[in-house]
Amino acid sequence: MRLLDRRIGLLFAIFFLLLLAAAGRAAWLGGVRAESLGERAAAQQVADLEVPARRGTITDRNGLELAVSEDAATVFANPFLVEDPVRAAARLARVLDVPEDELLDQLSDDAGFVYLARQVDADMGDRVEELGIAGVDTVPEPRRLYPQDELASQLLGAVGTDGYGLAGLEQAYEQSLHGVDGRRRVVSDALGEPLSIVESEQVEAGDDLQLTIDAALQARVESALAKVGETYSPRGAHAIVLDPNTGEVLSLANWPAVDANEWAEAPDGARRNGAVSSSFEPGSTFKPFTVSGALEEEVVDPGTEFTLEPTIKVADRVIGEAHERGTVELSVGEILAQSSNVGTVTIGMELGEERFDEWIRAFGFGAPTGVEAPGEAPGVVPPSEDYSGSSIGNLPIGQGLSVTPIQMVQGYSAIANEGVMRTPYVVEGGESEGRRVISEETAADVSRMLEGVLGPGGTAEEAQIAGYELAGKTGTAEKAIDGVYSDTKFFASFVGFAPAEDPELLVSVMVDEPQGSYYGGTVAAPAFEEIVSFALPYLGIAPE
Amino acid sequence: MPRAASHAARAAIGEEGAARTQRKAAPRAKASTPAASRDSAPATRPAPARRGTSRSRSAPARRSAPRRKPGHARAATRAGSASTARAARSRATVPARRPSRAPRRAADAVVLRLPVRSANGVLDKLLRGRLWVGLVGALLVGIVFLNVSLLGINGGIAATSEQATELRRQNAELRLDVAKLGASERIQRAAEAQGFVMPAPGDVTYLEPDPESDARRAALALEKGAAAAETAVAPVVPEAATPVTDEAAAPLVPEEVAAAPPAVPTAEPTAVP
Repeated sequence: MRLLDRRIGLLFAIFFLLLLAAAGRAAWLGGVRAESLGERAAAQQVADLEVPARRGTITDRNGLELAVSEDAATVFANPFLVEDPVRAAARLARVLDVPEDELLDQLSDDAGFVYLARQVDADMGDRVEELGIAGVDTVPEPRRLYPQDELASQLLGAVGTDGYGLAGLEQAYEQSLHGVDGRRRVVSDALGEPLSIVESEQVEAGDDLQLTIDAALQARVESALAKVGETYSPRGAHAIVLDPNTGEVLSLANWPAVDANEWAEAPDGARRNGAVSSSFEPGSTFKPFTVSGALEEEVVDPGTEFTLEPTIKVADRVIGEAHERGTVELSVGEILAQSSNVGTVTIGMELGEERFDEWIRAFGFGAPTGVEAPGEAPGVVPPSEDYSGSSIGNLPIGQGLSVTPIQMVQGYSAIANEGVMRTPYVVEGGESEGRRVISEETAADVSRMLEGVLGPGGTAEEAQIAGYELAGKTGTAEKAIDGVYSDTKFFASFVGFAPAEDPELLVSVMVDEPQGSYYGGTVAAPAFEEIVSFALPYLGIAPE
Repeated sequence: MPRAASHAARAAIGEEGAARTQRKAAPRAKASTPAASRDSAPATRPAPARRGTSRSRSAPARRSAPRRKPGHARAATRAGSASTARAARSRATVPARRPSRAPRRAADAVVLRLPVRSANGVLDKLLRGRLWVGLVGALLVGIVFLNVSLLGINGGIAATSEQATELRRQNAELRLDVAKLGASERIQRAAEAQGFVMPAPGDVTYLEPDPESDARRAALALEKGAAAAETAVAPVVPEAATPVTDEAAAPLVPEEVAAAPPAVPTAEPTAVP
């Protein structure tokens, strides 16, 4: 009996010791090593993932998608965990389409984290996962794609690899397009199969953005600019098509074109949205604003005739015509139609410096238009108090100041829209109240004068479209290089609208430093004609 | 004396109340020898006690009758064996003054604790019966089932989430394809390949809608069409000619009607890209 008791006691003691040992071990693991073990367990079984929000889609006015997002995969590695970098590089190179030596360099890096390939096709990511290389993993990342490639690329801009808009509308509308990223906690079992998925922070998709741009028209405008580029090899070219009645920008194009999917590879100059950010001296396309101010101030009327000498001297500067001529007698309308510098300067001097300054600012020059595209330049319009003695000899003919293409179309919209100027906009819903700048009568008078530019004896008489009356103005401006007007570098432009009686389209074409020919009527007007020839029937605008 | 008390108590408590009494008395029964308890157990141990643990078998033996209080008797009463309890009380050595107090306490208890008694009785029956074993078992099975279900649901959620991700990806790819196919340049190239040409602006004809004249012209066109159709239904066959026997060979619609222009002009441009 006593032996039995001793055995029981011994057994009890053993179990008690085992229990103590287990309790001690539990206390050690649960107390002293709790933090590190907890972290390891969390790392192995619990993953807090950031769920990127789906970036909003950008579409044209008809719903055609111009910018979309899709899921991609980013492949990364922890080089410390890659046992055989050479073999791993060879296997990955076959899948990722990346040079093997480049991958080997990365896998041999003395770092705990390296990107092997960012935002590759999701299928490619799946194939990398299937390789099962220890230390190499993938993470889903959204990727921005532009299905129309080059179409309106400078206007749309680009998104960086981290999913933030870097340029263009992608940058301007970053907040609404981006959405709100979410967080997801995934608990996996020992085999890595997810046991629970909890959305700790709800993801909110970005808002879609619909533009006023018409993709088909945009493609045709870009095609017209490409022809100009091919023919005249300019530094750049810009074109804008606008509905003057609403301010809707139907097309906004720049040349050279840039593939939005290869944004990083394009040169800096090409990535700029020059139609809103480039300033230039407009030259003769500015003359209608001088005439409009003079008509409004009743300094002249459409029938007023001037006897014009071949040149006119203003302070120390002598201004002549583009083509030599003798003394002529021209009406205000003829001055515009023939783009007489002497005549326009004469009208400007009649108007006076103060009133001239007020009128060109009323047309919106010297301040950004407010179009949604980022990076808009305000242009340069000197205040009247800073005028030199010859300023009033330069400014009325579009020299000594700089404007942007978008400012030009805004100013012309007042003439085309019965005196009411509309702020251009590229995003649907951005229409603003119009502002009356000139009277309906003055707008009609100037429109009639501009019809003469495309009529017989006008500077763009070749630009004709059967069945339609057109109105517009050519511009050929010498570029100021280091304070001196160059006689080899020009800015050729044409701004016009159609149909002239009841304008529904306003088109501007600006060509920077064309080679060979440089007149606006030769370089820019044909592009205007091509654009309008397509746009009128395409938009169902019937002839008068 | 202890043994007798033990027997008496066991008898008083009865087989159902044994365990309850043991728990209360055990700390005080250290003086009782194990031998005594073991000796007494075979003689008086009721059947349910044998089904209990060794502690429950020996505990009543460690009890001493003088320490038992009227409460134990009440336990016996609660167990539904009042007569047995009374017999045990009469056999046990009880101080002389206690019987005089016991009826008053019992009366108080009856008045004050009747509902508690009945509730405790039900609870005791439940706990001592086999039902609770099954109940606890069912609960455990339920808990396991719930956890397994939860895991299954979580696994399902994970699988659905992955499927949703895959579908979203496919959807994005399809949208991309649609956008590429919708490119105006591609459509124009395809149209040109089929022989379509872009009309010059002057070549496009626009029809001006006029509600009054359009309706009149449409009515006239319909009348003409109907008249032509009537004449076409009964074609004049020359007498000398062989009658047409094959119906399929006869034209169903006269050519002049088929070639007639649309009765109602459209307001839209006739040709837009």
